[in-house]
Amino acid sequence: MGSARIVHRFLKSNIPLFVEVKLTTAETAQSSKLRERIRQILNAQAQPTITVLSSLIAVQDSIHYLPDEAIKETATLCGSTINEVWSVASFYTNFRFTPPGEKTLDVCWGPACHVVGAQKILNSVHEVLEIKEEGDSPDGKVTLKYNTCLGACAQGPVIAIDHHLIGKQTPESAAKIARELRGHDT
Amino acid sequence: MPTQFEELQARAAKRWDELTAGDSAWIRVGGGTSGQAVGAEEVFEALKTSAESTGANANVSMVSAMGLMYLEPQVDVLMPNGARVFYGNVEPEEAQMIVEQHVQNGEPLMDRAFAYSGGYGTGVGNLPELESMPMVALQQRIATRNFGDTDPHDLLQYVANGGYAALNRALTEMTPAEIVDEIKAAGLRGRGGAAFPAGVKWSFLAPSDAPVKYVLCNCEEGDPGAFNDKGIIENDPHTLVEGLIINGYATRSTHGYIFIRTGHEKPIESARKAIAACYEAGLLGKNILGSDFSFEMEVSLTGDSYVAGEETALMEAIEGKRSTPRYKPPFPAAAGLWQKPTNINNVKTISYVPEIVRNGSEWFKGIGTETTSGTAIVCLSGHITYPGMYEVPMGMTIREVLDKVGGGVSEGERIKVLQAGGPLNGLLGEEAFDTMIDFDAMSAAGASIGSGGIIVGNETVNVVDLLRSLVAFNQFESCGKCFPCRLGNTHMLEILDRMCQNKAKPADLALLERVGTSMRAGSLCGHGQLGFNPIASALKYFGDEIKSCLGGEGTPAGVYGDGRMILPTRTRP
Repeated sequence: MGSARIVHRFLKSNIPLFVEVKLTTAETAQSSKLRERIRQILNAQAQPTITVLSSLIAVQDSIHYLPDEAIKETATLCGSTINEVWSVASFYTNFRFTPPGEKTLDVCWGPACHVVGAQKILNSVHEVLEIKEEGDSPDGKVTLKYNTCLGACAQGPVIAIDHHLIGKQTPESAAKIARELRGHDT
Repeated sequence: MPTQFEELQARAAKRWDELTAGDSAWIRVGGGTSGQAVGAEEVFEALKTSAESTGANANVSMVSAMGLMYLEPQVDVLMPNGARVFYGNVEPEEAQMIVEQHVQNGEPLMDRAFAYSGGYGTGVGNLPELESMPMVALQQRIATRNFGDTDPHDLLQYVANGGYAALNRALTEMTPAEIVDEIKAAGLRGRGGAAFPAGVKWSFLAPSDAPVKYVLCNCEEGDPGAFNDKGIIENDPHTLVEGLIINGYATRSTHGYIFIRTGHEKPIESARKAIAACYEAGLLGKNILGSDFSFEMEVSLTGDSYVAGEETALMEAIEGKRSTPRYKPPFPAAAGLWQKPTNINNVKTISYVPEIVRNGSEWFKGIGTETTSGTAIVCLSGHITYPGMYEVPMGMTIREVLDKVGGGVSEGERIKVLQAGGPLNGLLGEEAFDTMIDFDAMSAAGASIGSGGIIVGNETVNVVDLLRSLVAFNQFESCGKCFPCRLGNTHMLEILDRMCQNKAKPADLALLERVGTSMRAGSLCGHGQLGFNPIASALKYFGDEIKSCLGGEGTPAGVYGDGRMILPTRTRP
């Protein structure tokens, strides 16, 4: 009997709809290396209270997504089941299950930025990134996330590159930033 | 022999003297998330580099943000034996000039400075005194008293400004029951939105003799337009930590958690550093300050979920589960986190505690109104001249806050609509602007102080479009546990979308109301119960505008001319 490998089917929304379980005979070398890295991350958590959620946050903070190995290792560490860990991972909207682009661009669409023009920023960023909704640009360089509130409403409209906030945006300035992230001439 | 606390105070006084009364200048840069968003970190680096390269005799520190966010990046220079001079909207390129002219030659850049403070009463040129500017003069800063002055990561600077004196007083002079009585007498009401008297809430937990009891501090703060909880943690985390330790002592608890959403890096870093510094100084851990009281504290992170701010959902998140609300009873004071007795308070509520214990309940009761003592920490954003975070006494009217503190709107414009208290609270029209900021007066007007956020909209804002963005937020953030909330928000969003696109029918209004009523009746927590609030209040103040969208003859709303809005595609499974 080989170890169970789990293949998750994704909708475009990145949320697993249902889970298929397949059996494979051997774990690939890459997977076992990733598994080792995840164990290190999980064991390096500094705070006294370790939970399923804290473990998933620790993995995502380090490698920016949750591979299958993270789900399994978290279940082992916390003594819970793969189903239980998935129920948590799929609930919080900050988690993703495939590697993101090189940079993550958050654009706030919440009501405070909405009144000062967030929609136009979203639209211009879509054009530059050649996407029509949240997700990765075709070249894999930029991941666009809609954010409900980045916490600097007084400087709205706000965007953020890898959590570093940039305020007072215009459609033009945001497009310029998005082009730079893709490595295009501005 | 000096006590442990007296030794700490002596060290702190020495540190503060070095910074403020030595022969070096002190250059302070206002930090925080909001400052970062407009480049405060680059300004700080430039000032440090300039000070080093010119060999100027100056300390350069990143301190807390003062709250005057329209002036960020904000820099001030305190000269030895001189006044403190403030610069607003500083560019990194100006750093060299500030260091050379102001610090080295002693000549402030008069055309760039906006105010001064302190000195010998002779003033600085014709600059206004900081304390005389309306957006400062009208504030009464209790929870935000150190903003702009101290480095949030330096425990000694906090202690030098009166910090931890309240904890020391509590541990040496007061019993837990006396503190609970003091908080009750002060009339401190919860600042998370529900306005429940904090002392009464504490008294539910205090009598239990359980060996493990928790006090939780809620900084989920997902409300768009509100940034005061995160503001307090990132700018003065020790106020919160001290308050939470006192909260723990008063309720005879053993563990405290500060609960923050992941991704908000500055508040998280600030809270973690403050807790670590307290452990090192003997302010947390076993036998705090040599007393019998022991207390542990840590930061707990949640993933992105607005409902995690609901008290029982918050406990689920700390336990590492999906943050969905629990059935009540049992109430948290009986069986909360890990089924142990638990007490939950908002950041702002806890941040008032040190000053109440230090100055007494009579002092706090004397501020604010009859029914709501203390201050409101208001966050102004949107179409307002001076966006920022301001702590004003309760009882000030909304109009005073908008016009005097916030500077109103540009000439020729008019404030049309306010969104006050977060997306589950109401919209206010101009006839409500004379309402007092006070829990009861605000809720009578159909809104709430709630989180303290006020989003200001001028006449370019379409009310139905604003409602759609609020309901879209609520729909996106519904945890999905109760179907009236999960489906109701989706249904309301569809109707509002139709209204924005001029495809709605008159019957849609009654449908909206019916869905809203079902949500109120059939949801476990406030997210569903209050979900219809924005629409209900909008009907009160902007009924005509809303009804004009029902005949299919109006102009489409939104910024694209066809009524569309870009919405998130993701919903919770």
